[in-house]
Amino acid sequence: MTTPALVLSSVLFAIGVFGVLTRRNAITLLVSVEIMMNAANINLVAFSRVHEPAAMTGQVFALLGIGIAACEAAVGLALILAVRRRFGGTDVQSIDLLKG
Amino acid sequence: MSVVLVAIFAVPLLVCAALFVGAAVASRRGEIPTRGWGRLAGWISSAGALTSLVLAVTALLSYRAGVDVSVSAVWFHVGDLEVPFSLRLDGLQAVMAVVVAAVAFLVHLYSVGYMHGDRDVSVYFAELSLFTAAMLLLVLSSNFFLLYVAWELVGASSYLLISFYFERPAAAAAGKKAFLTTRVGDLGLLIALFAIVWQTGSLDYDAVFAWAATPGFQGAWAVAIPLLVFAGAVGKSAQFPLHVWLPDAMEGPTPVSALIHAATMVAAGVYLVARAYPLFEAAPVSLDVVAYIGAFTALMSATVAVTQSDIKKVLAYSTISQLGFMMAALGAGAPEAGVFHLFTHAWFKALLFLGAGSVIHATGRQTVQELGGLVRTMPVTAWTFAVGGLALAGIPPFAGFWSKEEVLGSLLAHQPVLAAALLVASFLTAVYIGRLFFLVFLGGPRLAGDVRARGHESPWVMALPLLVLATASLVSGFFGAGFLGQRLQHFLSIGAAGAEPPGTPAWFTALAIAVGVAGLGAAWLGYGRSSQRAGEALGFDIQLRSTLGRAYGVVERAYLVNEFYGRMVVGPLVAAGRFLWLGVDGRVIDRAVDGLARVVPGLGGLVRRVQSGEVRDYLAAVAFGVIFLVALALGGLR
Amino acid sequence: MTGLLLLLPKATIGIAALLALLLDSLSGGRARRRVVLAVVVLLSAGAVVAMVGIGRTGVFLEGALVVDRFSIFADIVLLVLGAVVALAALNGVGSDKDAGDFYTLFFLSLAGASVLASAGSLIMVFLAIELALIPTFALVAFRAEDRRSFEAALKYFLLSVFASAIMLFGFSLVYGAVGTVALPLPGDAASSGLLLAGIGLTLAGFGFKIAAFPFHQWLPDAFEVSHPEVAAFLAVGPKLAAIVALVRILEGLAAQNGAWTSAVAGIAVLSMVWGNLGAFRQRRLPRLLAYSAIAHAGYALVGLAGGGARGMDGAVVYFAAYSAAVVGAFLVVGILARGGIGDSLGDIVGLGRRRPLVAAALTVFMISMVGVPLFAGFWGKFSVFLGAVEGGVAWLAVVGVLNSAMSFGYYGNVIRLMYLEGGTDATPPRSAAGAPAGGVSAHGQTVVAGAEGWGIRVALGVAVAFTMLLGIVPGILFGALGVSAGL
Repeated sequence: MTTPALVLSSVLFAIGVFGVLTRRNAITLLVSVEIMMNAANINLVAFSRVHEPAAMTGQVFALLGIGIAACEAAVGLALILAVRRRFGGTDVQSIDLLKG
Repeated sequence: MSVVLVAIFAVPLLVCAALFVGAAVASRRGEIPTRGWGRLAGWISSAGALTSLVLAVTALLSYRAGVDVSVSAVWFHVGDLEVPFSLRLDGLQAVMAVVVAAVAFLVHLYSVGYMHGDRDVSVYFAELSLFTAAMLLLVLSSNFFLLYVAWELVGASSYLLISFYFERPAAAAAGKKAFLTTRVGDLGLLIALFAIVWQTGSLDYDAVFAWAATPGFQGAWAVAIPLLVFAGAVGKSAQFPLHVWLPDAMEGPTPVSALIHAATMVAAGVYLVARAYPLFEAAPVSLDVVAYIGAFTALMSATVAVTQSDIKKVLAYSTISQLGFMMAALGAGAPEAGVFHLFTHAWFKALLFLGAGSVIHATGRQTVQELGGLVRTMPVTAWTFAVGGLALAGIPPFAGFWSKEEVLGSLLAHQPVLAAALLVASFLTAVYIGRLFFLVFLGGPRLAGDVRARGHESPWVMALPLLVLATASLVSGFFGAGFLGQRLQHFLSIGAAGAEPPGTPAWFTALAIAVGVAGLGAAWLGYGRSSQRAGEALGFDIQLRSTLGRAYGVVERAYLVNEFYGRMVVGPLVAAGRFLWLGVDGRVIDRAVDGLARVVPGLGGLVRRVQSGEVRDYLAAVAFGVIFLVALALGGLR
Repeated sequence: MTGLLLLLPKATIGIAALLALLLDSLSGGRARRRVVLAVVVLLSAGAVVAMVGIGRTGVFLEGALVVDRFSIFADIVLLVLGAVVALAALNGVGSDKDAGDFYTLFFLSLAGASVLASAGSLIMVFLAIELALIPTFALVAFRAEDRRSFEAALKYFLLSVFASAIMLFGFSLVYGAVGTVALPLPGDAASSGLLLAGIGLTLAGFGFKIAAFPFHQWLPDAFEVSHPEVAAFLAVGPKLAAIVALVRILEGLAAQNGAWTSAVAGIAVLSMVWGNLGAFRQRRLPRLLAYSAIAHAGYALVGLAGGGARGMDGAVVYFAAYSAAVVGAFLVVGILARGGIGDSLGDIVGLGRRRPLVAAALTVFMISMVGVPLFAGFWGKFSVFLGAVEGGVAWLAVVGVLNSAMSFGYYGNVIRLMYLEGGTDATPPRSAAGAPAGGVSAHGQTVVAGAEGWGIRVALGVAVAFTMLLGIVPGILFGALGVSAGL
């Protein structure tokens, strides 16, 4: 019963990882991470229906996860803005003062 | 009464703390340390060491009188394991404590003169006191854990002392090398400690030894534990193959060499094996390893010592060689003989080092090519050095003769082959110490017009320790015949045996003496006569070099063991570090991902992009790590 | 002491965060300073309250929040850490106009770490980790005058959310496999691919939090550019709490020991080797400390890889024992930066003459990090290596000891440089009369020598005291962990 959901979430997760590894724009990177988190949320909801439908643990977890993701995005976008102002762009490739 | 054992090591520890605080306060107030302050620090720490010596003698006498002086308290718990802070005194520990405290006191005293006018002497004396405290704690401990703690502290404080002249790169490197090399051995001791805890749940000597005597002490651990303990001893006592640090450690101030690298710290390995002897007795094969390593080290280092031209290097290789003698005796089932040799060796080797220090202090030279004829300007140093040399060469009635004779006798009874090897080593011992004495003290100055190299006698604070040690080098051998009413070897009461060792046959004793005399005679023929004339001193060395060809060079460079380690161990490590650094910490992972990509063709385009930017290198690394972890985790699915 | 009183130590952190919010509205440095000092006292009192609670346990919010020996232990360390860092920041970051923001973010993160150490379900673990980490993104970027701090913060952020997403996916798989989010996870769970993959992903997420190889890349950048006080906190707070949470998650999974111990052993070895080799090549103290921090994460994982109770305790003890030294070392970096000395290895040459007490303190920290007995760091190494040997992975202990021997190379080098004579750096030494000599720090601020303020000096003294006290009387370290377990 969870197999279709698991397949969907795995595909989404893989797409998210692929996006993280290939995109150069910090904002797109962030969006890719959001896709990965939503893959996890799908899992949580699907498994919750199997294990403990009454308690809705998985649903609660997923909701909290969405909230956390929003917090991350807020701080992240603020950072990206600040970087854009100082480095003149959001292409992560051009931001490489620190190394070693 | 039980306070005594704590006080023995606590006094130097307090002295150390006081000196450090004093130095910090003085520098905080912007005061440049003055000579007077340094001298005061020297006297304070000497007084501390003297107090330790008095207390150690008191403790020994009360032990003899049957008073229980042991101390035991719970230090802390680690889960169900109770780690005790416990000290005790038996014959072996009492003798060790007295030797350590006595040599430490004499070296402190000597240092007041030797370090005169050097910078930062208060820090030097603080470190010396710290070392003394740690070493005394090491010999007084009654459990393996406290022993290990003291063992490491001894290593750390000796690091500080060896690299006291931090600004000299060689000194800093030598300190580091000593610390790292001995830590390889310490690793064995630590693992043995863990294994003992794991197997017995206790760390106390008596409990562990009782366990070793039970039939439960069998199998792989029964062999591994003594060998791991021995690994610790090999590192600390500079036995092959971990002996490489000791010659380099001669970069430290000479009194430090006398204390640490002759009498006490390097003897700690021998003490450890003697202390843990019941573990070794339970696994006879481990004793054979000890015997062979010891004998091999003794012979090998003796040959190297003959070829060295730095006074301190000769003595360093000599120390390695003599420690090998002790180890061989321990391995041959005669721990009493080994510790007896440790006892006599402590005096005469400290004497030789302090004598060498006296020469270096007076002349500023330490290679035999530059020295000569010092007997005229430094008579006290010369004659006490001669006493030490005769003791080392094993000429009766000096101390070294009695203990070496017992070592050789015990080997003859158990391992005749090794006895023969050590006889050869004894011959070489007499040769190198004779060579050293003849070249440095006889003949004339080798460098014409070098006024300072003519030397001058050292002040009384340096001469007094020489005289005391010379006396000890003469009489300490007689303790083998009688010490507080019994033979010293009995007093030690090591291991289960305690039986009278088989008497050495008269012909063998005669042979041993003959070998010593022959060695000195050979040295006289090679170096004594020619050194009568200035400028020709090393003719025999040159002759040897031309006869032996490249072999001589190999021996002179200590069989290239250092070079071997440099190429096989240090080189690859340095290269790995450089590779990592040049790879800017992401490139290596790229290469790994790259390799993966070649296996999985579809990923090729991805990898090209991954390599292009910084953060994305990191993200790729994380992804790589995830694959790694999930693969490992799924590998557990069976 | 019962019930909610057990949560009092955590509550003090929350109160501290609220007080810090008010800081900016208080005019005048003096008023602000008083509030910060009050917060320091408050946190110290919280630590004492936590100590009183040693040996007690409590369960709150239907098991979502657990107070036990681990959480009490972590609370003590975190509260002391909070007080020390707050004190140290008094004259540095805390004298900024943004002081209120700094302290608020810092205490929020600290609160997250404290909750993380008490988390009794996977949901709470996730929430607490995010609460602990999100403020730190801003903290890393806090040195606004240096644009590199934004670069480091962005990298840290991107890696962190990536790791969080991976961990959340891992949690979802674990939940799917065992059917519950409550900790400890049921020990009899069947070994399925779902569970093992979930554990692998979870480990990866935690690997990022404690900066183990290959999840460590954010660390050197973040340590180099952020305020030393922030680095000191990052090096300890979130890591200690994360390792407690990881222990809590893995504790129940005894049946899967074979799977996760080999994975942990793998990253432990790589972290130790990578961190130590990397540290050798560093020329700046913060980066050196960063690479050594990677190695220290590896040592802690050695205990975890043992799989047994002692090794798990050891991993927690490890971070606590290490914390005093690393915090102290970063405080020294702070003093150097504010004193205009700079933090490259060339700058510390001759420090033993110019600032003997600071040099002595740094020496103590370096010796402790090597793991010499009678210093705090030794007990951490002792307990993790003991745990490894007892867990049947003696080879891992061997690798660990060899690595710690190797680490002596660069720690010893720091000590050596400080006690070398003279030095080439142009900074005029502090004159005897105490007249301030001007200088320009590595970060471009004009600073006054000796003006680091008394706060950071006191904090440094506390760090030295803990490093040595925990070394000589380790009972207070092991005690908090051991008593309640009835061992």
